[in-house]
Parts: sequence; C-alpha cells; structure tokens
Amino acid sequence: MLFVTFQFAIFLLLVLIALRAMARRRSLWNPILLGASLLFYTLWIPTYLPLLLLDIGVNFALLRAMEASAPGSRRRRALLAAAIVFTISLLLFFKYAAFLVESALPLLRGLGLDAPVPDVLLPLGISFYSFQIVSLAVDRHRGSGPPVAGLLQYALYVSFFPQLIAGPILRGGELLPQLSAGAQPSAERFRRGAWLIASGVGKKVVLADFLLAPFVDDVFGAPGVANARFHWIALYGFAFQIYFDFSGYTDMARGMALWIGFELPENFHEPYLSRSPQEFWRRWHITLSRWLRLYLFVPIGRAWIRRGPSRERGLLALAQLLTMALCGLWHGAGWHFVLWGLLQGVLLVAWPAAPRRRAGADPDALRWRDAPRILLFFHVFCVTLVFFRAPDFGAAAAFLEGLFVPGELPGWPRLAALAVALGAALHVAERVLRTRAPRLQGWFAARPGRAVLEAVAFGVLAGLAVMVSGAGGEFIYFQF
Amino acid sequence: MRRALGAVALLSCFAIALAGVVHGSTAWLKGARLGHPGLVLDYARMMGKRLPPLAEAGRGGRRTVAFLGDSGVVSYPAGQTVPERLQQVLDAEPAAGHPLVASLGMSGSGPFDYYCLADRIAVARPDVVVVSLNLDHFSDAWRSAYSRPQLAGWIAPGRIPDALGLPFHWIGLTTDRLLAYVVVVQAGASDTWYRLGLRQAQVGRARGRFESWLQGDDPPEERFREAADARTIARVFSGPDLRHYRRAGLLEHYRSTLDGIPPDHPVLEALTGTLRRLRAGGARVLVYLAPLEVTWLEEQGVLGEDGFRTTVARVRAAVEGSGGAFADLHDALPADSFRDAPGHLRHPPDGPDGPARLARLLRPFVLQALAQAPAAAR
Repeated sequence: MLFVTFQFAIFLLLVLIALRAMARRRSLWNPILLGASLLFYTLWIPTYLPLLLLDIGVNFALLRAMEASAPGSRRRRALLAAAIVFTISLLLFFKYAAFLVESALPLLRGLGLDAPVPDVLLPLGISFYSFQIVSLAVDRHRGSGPPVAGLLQYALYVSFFPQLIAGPILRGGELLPQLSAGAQPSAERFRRGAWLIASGVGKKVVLADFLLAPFVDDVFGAPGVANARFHWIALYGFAFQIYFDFSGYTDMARGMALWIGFELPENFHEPYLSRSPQEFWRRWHITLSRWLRLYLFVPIGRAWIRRGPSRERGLLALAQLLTMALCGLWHGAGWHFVLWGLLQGVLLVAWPAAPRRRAGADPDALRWRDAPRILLFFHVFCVTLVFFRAPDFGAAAAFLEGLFVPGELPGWPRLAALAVALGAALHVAERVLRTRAPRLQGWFAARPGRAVLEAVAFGVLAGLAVMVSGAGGEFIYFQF
Repeated sequence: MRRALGAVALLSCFAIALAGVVHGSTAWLKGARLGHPGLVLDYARMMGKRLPPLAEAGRGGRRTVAFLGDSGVVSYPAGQTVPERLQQVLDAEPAAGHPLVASLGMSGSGPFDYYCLADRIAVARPDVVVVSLNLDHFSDAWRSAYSRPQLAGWIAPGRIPDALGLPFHWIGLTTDRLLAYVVVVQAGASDTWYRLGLRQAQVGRARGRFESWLQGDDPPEERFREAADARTIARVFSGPDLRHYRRAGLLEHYRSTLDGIPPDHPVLEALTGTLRRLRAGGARVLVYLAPLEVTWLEEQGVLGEDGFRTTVARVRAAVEGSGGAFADLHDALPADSFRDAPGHLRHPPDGPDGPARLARLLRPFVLQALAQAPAAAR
C-alpha cells in the first residue's frame, strides 16, 4: 500500500481506532500492530508474506541460539555468520539474481554455456528489513543493544509498517525499548505527527511528483535533444525530486509512528546544504549511512588494517571505495549504480574536509561564507547523479554531453526552473524550521484558534494532494 | 466530553477544507476549458453503454456476439471496424440468423482488462465472445504502456479469491488497490470516482497550460518534446542504422512471443481466467491470434520459428484447456492488408479493406461457435 492513497488512509484510521479501542488493554497493542503490519505487507502482493515470515522465523531462531551460546565462542560466530548469509542470500536472489546472471552471460556464452535470466519480482522493502535484521544480529553478537523480548517483539521490530518498506533503517536500541515500554501516544506527539505527515505529503505529492517529475522524466527520456540549460535544470530537478520523494516518505513514516506512539529517527538533515561529501553523507539517508559505516566500513577497515597496519590510509581508502560501491549496488541492480557509488567513494576519499567549526558552534548554522563550498559540492554531486538516474551508461553519456554542449533549441524551461528554485528555497526553509522549530512552536502555541487553523491548513493540503495526485507514481526508494 | 467535541470540531474543519478544495475546483477547471482527457475508466463506461443493448437483444431471442480486442480491431472509421465488418458479413448470410455483433474493444486493451470486465460481459449473456489476442500483449512494452488496473473495480466480489490467485502485480495492481476499487464500484461510487479522475487529469492539463503561459507563444518545452519525438521517429524510420532500430523496436514488442512464452506467463493466466468466467456464463469463446505482417517481420529478421511456434502452441493449449476455441490467423492476411507491423489494417479509401478481409476470415469460426452455442437461458 502506498502511503498517499485512500486505502492507506482508511487502513491507518482503522489501526488507530483499534488501538484506541484497546486503550485499557495496552498489552494487546503490540499484537495489534504486528497484525496490522503483516496485513499491510500482505495487501501489497500476498505471495511474499511467507518470505517475510521465513526471514523473521529463521533469524529469530538463530538470534536466540546465538544469545544462548558463550560470548566469543566459535558457535556464536558461526550462528551470526549463518544469520547474515541467510538474510543476504535472500536479498541477493530476489534483488540481484537477474543482474548477476545478465552480467555473467558474456562469460558463460564464451564458455559455450547459457542460462535463463530469472524474472523475479522484488519483494517489498527487502533491502530495508534485511539490513535491520543484520544490524540487530551483529549488535547482539557484540553484546550491545537491548535484548529481544520474544518472537512477537522481534517480528514487529522487522515489520513495523510505517518503516517497513522504505526505512528509516532502525537499530535495535531505537525501537526495541519502545516496544517493551509500549506505545506512548500523546496530544503533543499527535500534533507533531500531523505536521510531519502534512510536510511529507506536500513534499512527495506536490513537489516531487507534480512539479518536478514530469520535466525530469522528459529530459532524461531524451538526453542530448535539448540545450544545456534544459539538462542542468533537469539535473537539479532530479536532485530535488529524489530528496523530496524520499524525505517526504520518511516524514510520513515518522509522523505515523508518532500517531501510534513511537519515535523514529530522522533520516535527512538538509543534505544539499553540505559543505563536503563527508558532511553530505552524515545528512543524507542518515540511517543507511550509519548502517554502512557500522556494519561494513568499520569491520572491513579494521580487518584489513590488522593485516597491513603500515598501509592504513590506503587500506581505509580502499574500504571506503568498496563500501560506497556496495552502497551504489544497494540502490539498484546495475553497473551504473555501482559507478555512482564508486564516485561517491572517490569524493569521500579525495575531497578535502571542510574546515571545522569552532568548538560549541552550531553545526547547523547557515553562513554566507560557506556558500561557495556548498554550491561547489552540490554541483559535483548532481553530476554524479546522472549515473543514478540514467537507465544505462549510454544514456548517461548522452546526458553528460548534453550538459556541456549547446543544443539547437533556444529558451529556458521556466516552470521547471521555478520548481527547482522553489525546491531550493524550501530546502533552506527546512533548515531554518528545524533549527528554530521550538521557538516557532512556542509562538504558534500561544495563538488563539491554533487548532482550527491547523485543521484548515491540513484540509487544504490534503485537498490539493488529492487533486494533483492523479499521475502520482510510486516512491522512488521502493525500488531499493 | 469537551475533548470529544473538540476532536469533532477539528475533524469538521479538516473535512470542510478538504471538500472545499476538491469540489470547489470544478468551476475553475471548467472555466479553463481543459477539455476531456481520456481516462482508464472510459472503458468501463463504454461497456456500460454497449452491454445493455446486447443483453436486450439476447432477451429478445436474437443471437449475440461480443467482440473484444485492441486498436487492431477498433481503430478504424465508423462502420469499418472489425466488429462492424463482421456484422455486415453475417448480415449478408441469411443462414446465420442475423446475430447482433457488439464491439466491446478498446485501443490498448488486453486479457487483464477482459478478465476485469468478464463478470459484466457474462451478465449480458452473449452467445459467443470473440477475443482478439495481439502477440505484443506478452511484452513488457505493452504492460507498461497500456495496463489499466482500475478496471479491477468491476470484478465481482465473489471472484476476488480467484483474482488474488492471478499475477495481477504484473500490471501494477496490488491487493489493496484491487480491494479498494471493488469497494468503490460496489458502493455505487464509480461515477464520483470517474469525476475525481477527470479533475485530476484536468489538473495535469492545467499544469501544461501554466507552462505554456509562462513561456509565451513559443514554449521551448513544447519544441523540446517535438524534437525528442522527431528524433525517436528518425531513429526508427531513417538513417544508416535503420535496420537495427526497426529490429530493436520490433523486439521490444515481440521478444517474449518470439522467444517462446512460458506456460505460466501472466497474460496467459489472465486469458484463461477470462475464458473460465465467460464459459461459466454460458458463452462460447473464440480466441484468435491477431494477424501480423509476417513477411515484413521475416525481412527484418525477427521471426524466429521455434520460439514463435512454442508461443502459439502454449496459447492454443491454454485456450482449449479452458474450454475455448482457438484460431491462429497471425499469417492469414496478405501483406497489402497492413498499414504497420503491429497489425493495424489498411482501410478504404486509402487501401484494401483489411477489416473486411479479417471479418471474412473470422466468419466460419464465428458461425461454428454460434452453431455450437446453446440458446442461453434468459
């Protein structure tokens, strides 16, 4: 189910009513939420529910066995390895089987062999919940993070519907204690959730789908036809489209969790206002970056350095490149995604770190003197995005050529340029709102008729969303 | 009590604001003269107009034929579509008993659409249903360009379990959407749904108008789109790599067919599901493979024999296994009948009457099906 549909609105309403009806029996809330989450998953394509249940069942059994074994023992390590191999094998098969076979076909044909390319439909959210399963297994193996109370709690941790299909990618410590304590809804959380949902709907439906996507799709669909201005604006447009699409989804997920009574972590901190790639990856898809750092880059880096301590810098750079190449592959089964990831790795390794701010200075403060760095990095990142958005290397090359070769057609795409300018302005506004929100909320809370104003504002936004959502697509991040 | 009243007041504000935007938009959309965009739901509305006369004729004792197909069947001037030509051919033969042929085709339609509408068709109790199956329906190109998942709203509630067993996700229909659409139609809200869809499409047009207004008389976006289209056409129809692009274009539409479809291809499953439903309603069903310009396909080097034979055999087995009759007409028309490779036919005054030729080819199969069809209990 997509979040911005009538059926999901009804589903969410029914879940909230069910929780409300059981207000005196809070012990039933987690089972209700688990049932709702599994129903949510089933209502996509029922065929894949057994796969999710299998993933949950096998990994829970392995986790329990691992926790029962002695710390540091070979058995404990073997059980962790089994959990990782099982989870990642399912991910590899369902997401990458076709890509792997297609990539190997030239070699196989050279050897006189042939293989059919599997036509497997990607199970919803498998990239996200697989990472959550692995992170919990690794944390528990290390003895960190809270223990899992039981199968029901574990299943809800993996399948909690607001974040099941596109994150944020949680760690055990972020959700398990809340599940143990039970959901804590409150008027304050409800209001905050409403604002987040409204912001998410606006970002996803109005900005990403209605204003930006049509132009971006047109230009990327025919690279090299229009003049360079079209290409640049389409590139900026895609940068903001993907940001508003994904951060809009995250806002909705967090808002719904707040309505239920849980806090989910933030996933974006205005990434396009970053001064360097290092800062960007601390602000873009924060929970994925964290996962990659904690469960891929650090273990790989440590293992390599242990074997060759004299070459630490080189090995760390190599680990960074490998991590980001895999990050690219996580985003999509294609070599152009791998290249995009590698380019991010190169930027992380080679880009000089931005000067440190003074001790105690606000890391989110916007300063004019940072503008050149921000603009430079934003443009470089945008150019790498060509490999992310183009369907293959040929289309990417044609688009890159279009960025620098004056085309035959004169003129500006004014609506698209306005949409990009609006996106940029809203991006800055988000930073201002986030850093000054408490003060603004305090001021707003004191206004008379605040609740009515909010209800009317949300109603108008919902109406607009309904009107412009006719051609609304799926969330871009569902594919990952 | 006070909290409950407050909550009701807030919800009311929200609902009024929402309704104000959705309903208040009608006037300005009409004022902007944004026209009537084609909608997916138009197919269902067209059925609503054409099925009652079919049912009425049947109740009056006249034999009836429902004709399902895509643009290869219906994209001709009035009076020259394949169902109309078939009507003329059957009318010219007194022994046929003057059956009524109803055209229920729509450009781009295919087996998934027919499955969704099969319950409505079955209620009209046609004696024979003719299904034109285009060989490009098995391709991803067709799936992405023409799928109409909203038609699932017309699946009868009792058939939902059967529908859930079909690979509807192949055309982007998830379970929640299927259930939601069925609820909307069963609640009698399909007209409201249609009006909302119309307004949404008009908002999309308004966006285009606004774009043009920003640009003045000569919008560069428009020229860009024209240039992009022109380049695509040029790539397909001219230049040194003509053969390569033609071949690529054809393969995009026919690769699945030419490679040999698997026995569980989603389109095949939708087709057999449709046949089962129509047969259960008492109709004889004739499925024919829409003719293609085979000579040209052979010249382009895309007509591989083995895979193609496999595809035809699997379609035949699926159709006959579901109680239908099968006719393979894919190479039955002479090359001068076609105006393009995907099977659109020439028609007067610009060429030979392809639809009439096709209707004559279909005549014996339809007569045989009519002869076998029992007079349905009405």
